[in-house]
Amino acid sequence: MTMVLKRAPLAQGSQATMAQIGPLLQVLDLHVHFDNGVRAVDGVDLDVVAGETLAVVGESGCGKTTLGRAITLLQRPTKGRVVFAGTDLTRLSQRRLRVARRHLQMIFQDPYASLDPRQRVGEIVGEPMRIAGVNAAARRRRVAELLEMVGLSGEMAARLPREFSGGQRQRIGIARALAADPRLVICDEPLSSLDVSIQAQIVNLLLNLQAELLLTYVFISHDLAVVRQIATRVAVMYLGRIVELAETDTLFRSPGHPYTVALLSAVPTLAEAGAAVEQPVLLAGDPPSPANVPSGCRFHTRCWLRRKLGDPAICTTEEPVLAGGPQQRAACHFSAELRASGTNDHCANSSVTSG
Amino acid sequence: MLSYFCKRLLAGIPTLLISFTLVFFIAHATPGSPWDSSSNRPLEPAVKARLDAKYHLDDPLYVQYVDYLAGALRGDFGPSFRDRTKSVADIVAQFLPVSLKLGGAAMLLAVLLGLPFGALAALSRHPAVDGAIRVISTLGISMPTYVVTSILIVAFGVGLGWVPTFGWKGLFSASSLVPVFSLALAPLAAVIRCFRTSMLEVMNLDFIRTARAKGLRPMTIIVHHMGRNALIPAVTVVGAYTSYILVGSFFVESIAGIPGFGRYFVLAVAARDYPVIIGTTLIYALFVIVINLIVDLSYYLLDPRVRTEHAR
Amino acid sequence: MSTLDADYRNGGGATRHAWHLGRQIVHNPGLTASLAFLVLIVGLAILAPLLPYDAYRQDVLHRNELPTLQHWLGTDELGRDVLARIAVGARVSLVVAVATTLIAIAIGVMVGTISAYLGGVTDSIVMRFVDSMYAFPETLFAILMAALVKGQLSGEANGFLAPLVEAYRLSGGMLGVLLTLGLTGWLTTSRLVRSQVLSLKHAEYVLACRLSGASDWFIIRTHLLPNTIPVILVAVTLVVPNAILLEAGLSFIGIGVDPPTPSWGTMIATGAQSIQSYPHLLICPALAIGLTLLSLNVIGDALRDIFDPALAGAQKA
Repeated sequence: MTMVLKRAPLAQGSQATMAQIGPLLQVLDLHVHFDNGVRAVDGVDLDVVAGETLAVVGESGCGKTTLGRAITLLQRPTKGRVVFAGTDLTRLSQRRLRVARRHLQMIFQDPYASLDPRQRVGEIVGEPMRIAGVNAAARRRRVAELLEMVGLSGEMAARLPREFSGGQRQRIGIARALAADPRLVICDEPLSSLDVSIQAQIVNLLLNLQAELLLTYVFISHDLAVVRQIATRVAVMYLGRIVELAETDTLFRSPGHPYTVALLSAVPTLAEAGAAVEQPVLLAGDPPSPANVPSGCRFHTRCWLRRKLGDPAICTTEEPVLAGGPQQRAACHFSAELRASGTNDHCANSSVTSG
Repeated sequence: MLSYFCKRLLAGIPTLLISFTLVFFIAHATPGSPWDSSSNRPLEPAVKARLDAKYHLDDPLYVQYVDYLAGALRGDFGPSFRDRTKSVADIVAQFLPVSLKLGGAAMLLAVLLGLPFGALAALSRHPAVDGAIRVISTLGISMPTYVVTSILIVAFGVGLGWVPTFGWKGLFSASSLVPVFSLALAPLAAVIRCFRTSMLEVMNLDFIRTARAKGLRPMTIIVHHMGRNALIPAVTVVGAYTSYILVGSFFVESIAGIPGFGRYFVLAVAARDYPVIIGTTLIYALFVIVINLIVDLSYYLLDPRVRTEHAR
Repeated sequence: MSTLDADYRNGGGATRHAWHLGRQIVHNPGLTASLAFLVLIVGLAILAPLLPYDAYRQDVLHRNELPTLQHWLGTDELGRDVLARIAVGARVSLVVAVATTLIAIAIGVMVGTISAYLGGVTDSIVMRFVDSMYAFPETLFAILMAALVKGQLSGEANGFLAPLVEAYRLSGGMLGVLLTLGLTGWLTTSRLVRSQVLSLKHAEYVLACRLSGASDWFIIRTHLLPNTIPVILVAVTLVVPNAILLEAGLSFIGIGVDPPTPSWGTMIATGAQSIQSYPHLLICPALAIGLTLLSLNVIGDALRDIFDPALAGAQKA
């Protein structure tokens, strides 16, 4: 009962006053630079509206996991602000931060590393409530409830994590996130270490929970097929920065950034599903080191569009900003040309770019 | 090479300084003065004050610290309390050579016996050899030197009468057999184990297998290809067991009646001769740190992989 | 195979460890013998007062006797029963081992955990200090400390030291040994614990816990410490034999336990003086401590294999 009471003011806020407060989560000019010179997150601006699912996609090493941790302040940003439900988390003291981000939870990538092997399932799921000061009896009831909610049974509370499969462990992780009564859940590649057949179950579970509990998701993933199924909007990240931010349908139908085109074309099943991809556009080589970001447009070293347009100077001298309408914004000097011409033409001579 | 050497040398200085400071303050932070405990009848205050003045014990602590540090840098740790006519440096000069001979001989014995036995252990597939090696290394690790010395002296000296039970007639006499071997046992076990492991590793490397496939005899291969690999475990053990032998000499020399520095130190400790205790501790610490520095440098010379690691 | 893997990944469990240990005992006669000897020594220590002879009672008519039916291990230079003295010596060793281990583990766990958890400058300073202490030969440092502690505490009681001096006298010098060994023995523990906490503190379950608003102390208490227990047990297997070895060494030199309280180290030292005529006075205590340490090492090896194979070699040389 306590948990419901705690939740009440926030829930009212999300329905009645949200329009005045603005987005549930605002990320402003966020930077995470490490001592070794790596700029994992290098100037990210994002809004997340209550009730939506914002997917963050990109190659591994592009900084999406660090972005997720910086939003929760598990990783202290070196610069920028994270405003959650109207409170700037970056300015809070440790003590007040602990309270303020309780309703911001995370689902982790590795269901084997994310559960303490020495705790029983009941302790794991009940931990957020224990920290919040809920008494043991109420906790036990709520744990059983939560386990049922994620498709497990209440009796499983007495078992140890090692008795469960990867998919079940991920469900336990989800139940733990729900125990804090979250409004925003950061899902950090929650499917990538699961079997394909299990992935679908977990996706469905996440979608059902969202509808039932009015959750907002930031869904970090490199799996575009899943993203297409689950996301309201998609942010494409490259070398620590968002290069395209668009509504899911728009993005898959007519991508506004050559990098997005390349990512989409790498997934054959998307073409079958009617996305704007026919021939693969291959990216040349590995991404540059995030410790040594290229000048101008950070994608220019691997950009097929730049080569096709005959190496325009602006790509190496000026960093493009995220521009466009509310439906689609892209950080490319030639985004308009890309969209106007349609992807197919560019893809036609992809062999040039594959070398 | 030179820059690596300098870097390691510089890194050793804070370690030494911290050790020094620690020893100094432990010695001085505890209340009371050396005169309290050195005799049973209380000293006259005036006498005590004069003694304090003579040994600069009435100076502020930081002055004493700087004085002592400056003295230590010159190798001067002050006079012994027990034998006022001798300085700590004199005592070290008088007693250390015997201990150095004893310890050096033990280390040499460990390496010279350990390498062939280690090779034998690696080459022989016989379980008895393996078992024997394991017994020796377990004994070497677990048995304190004073136990080994006691048992050996009782067995070979008292029981069989092969060696003298007490005293020292130089390194090349029967009197040194038991002490040297007692000190050598633990490092010997370590050399055997260490060399056996590295032999087994090397024997599975491609070039050795190739050489074998070409029909070269195992012994030929070993002598040709493994000389350098033999030195690394030897050097490792020298580094790891220097302080072991050093401390072991306290016990071995006391039991076997060897007039070395170890025995002198034990007597000094029993008599609470603080200048000797502190000076010795510092000299020995310096010795161990320097040996470890030399060992690190030898790695650098022996193993190209270490070199590339530091070049980065 | 896959279930085995999964089990291993999860760190096993108490029952699993016990089962593993049981299997080792059956298959390893050395381990069986070691356990049996240790049980004998501990039994001797506990039952020391029930032995027919008193460890302190002198008997001028039966001095330096070789082992007989009355005195199984003979008598010493004052006619005291050697077996009784070995039993009381075992007591001393046992008390020293337990108390030192408690002190050393407490300090080591605290320093290691705090250093690793706070990280940054704190960690660098603490670890620089620990490394410096490591470069210093441990026994030498213990001798220095013990000599100084003894010098301060064995004199007349004065000022605020009076209760300590009194406690020192009552403990027959054991307090000095405990202080010395406790304060020198925590280094290995702190290193082991630190590296474990370092690897744990970024575990995802710790992040999840922090996200739920847990305080640092809550995280340390519920996640870090429980998951450090195997490492702490490994540290215990290293600290216990070392404490016994050092106590005997200090007593041998004359700065450990004070006579007439028997310590194996003192007995060896006095035995060494009459090695020619009465070798049993040297051999009995030497074998007692040698076999005890041997047993502890064999058992420690087995335990380390079970708890963490990777840590088995992390012993200070």
